[in-house]
Amino acid sequence: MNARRFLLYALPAVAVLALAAMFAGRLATLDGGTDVPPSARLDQAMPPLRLEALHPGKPGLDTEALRGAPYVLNVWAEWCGPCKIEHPQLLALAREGIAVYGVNFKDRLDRARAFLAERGDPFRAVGTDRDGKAGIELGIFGVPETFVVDRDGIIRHRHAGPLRAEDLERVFLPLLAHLQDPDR
Amino acid sequence: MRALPPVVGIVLLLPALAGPAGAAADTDARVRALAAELRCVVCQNQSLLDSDADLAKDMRALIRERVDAGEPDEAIVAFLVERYGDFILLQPPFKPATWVLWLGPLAFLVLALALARTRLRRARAARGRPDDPDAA
Repeated sequence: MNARRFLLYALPAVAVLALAAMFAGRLATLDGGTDVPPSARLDQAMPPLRLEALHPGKPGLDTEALRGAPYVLNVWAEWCGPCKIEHPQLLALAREGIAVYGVNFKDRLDRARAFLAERGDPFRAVGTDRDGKAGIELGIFGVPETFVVDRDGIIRHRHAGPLRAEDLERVFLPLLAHLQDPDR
Repeated sequence: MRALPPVVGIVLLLPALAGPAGAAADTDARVRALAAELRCVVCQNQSLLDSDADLAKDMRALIRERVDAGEPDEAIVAFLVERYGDFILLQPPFKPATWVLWLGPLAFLVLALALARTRLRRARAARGRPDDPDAA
């Protein structure tokens, strides 16, 4: 009888704790401490995007043509504050010799060009997403978002929100090193 | 049989008179219905219909385009789920990962009823079975 009574009180307590643990686990999967859940595009093929160039005379962005080598794709805009904060990290990635491509999201092109002229241009090519359709193709929740794509065109990582130096050290650089040379 | 008042006839004729405007209203209704069951991913507790966020506006425009192109509702929802996951559905689908969510409350109700039943029975037994005709 006593054991039953104990169970009667213990069971709800255990149920509540289990629920709390489950919520905590799910919270931990949110991207980069933001309220963004894991990308539905993760481990899926990069959608084929063909975007006009931001810089006249330079090539635009054609994700199908990027197959064969891993790369980083950053979605940004001049009007986006966190994009300014993360910009040095993109420059750092480019300095490491990593192929960084950009999608300029719903921006005024002259301002976007001025942004890169002023702060440095880490991108091998920048495509313009004038109406935000490419953003929806990528399943973005906002800007900035950054994707790591492997040589087969599969999205291996998505970072929502501004990149920090520790994101590069902990995630981007090790992952990209592995993708460059999977046998290492 | 009494003749219908003329106003009823006019009302009955209205949809036919509306023509293209009626089709536009149809599209509007479908876009609104779809947007109401999809989550705005920016302001996560609002539907696409209620949200003023830029991304929500873009998604409503995209839904309208696809409705205009004659796509069925399921295809439009599937398009967005492919890009944003089940997260974009305000009503979570019924599948193994959500069984606890959907069936949990029912399981608790059954458990509570079973518990209440045994308790009531025991209480009755303790009172000397007043409702039992044999006991009297």
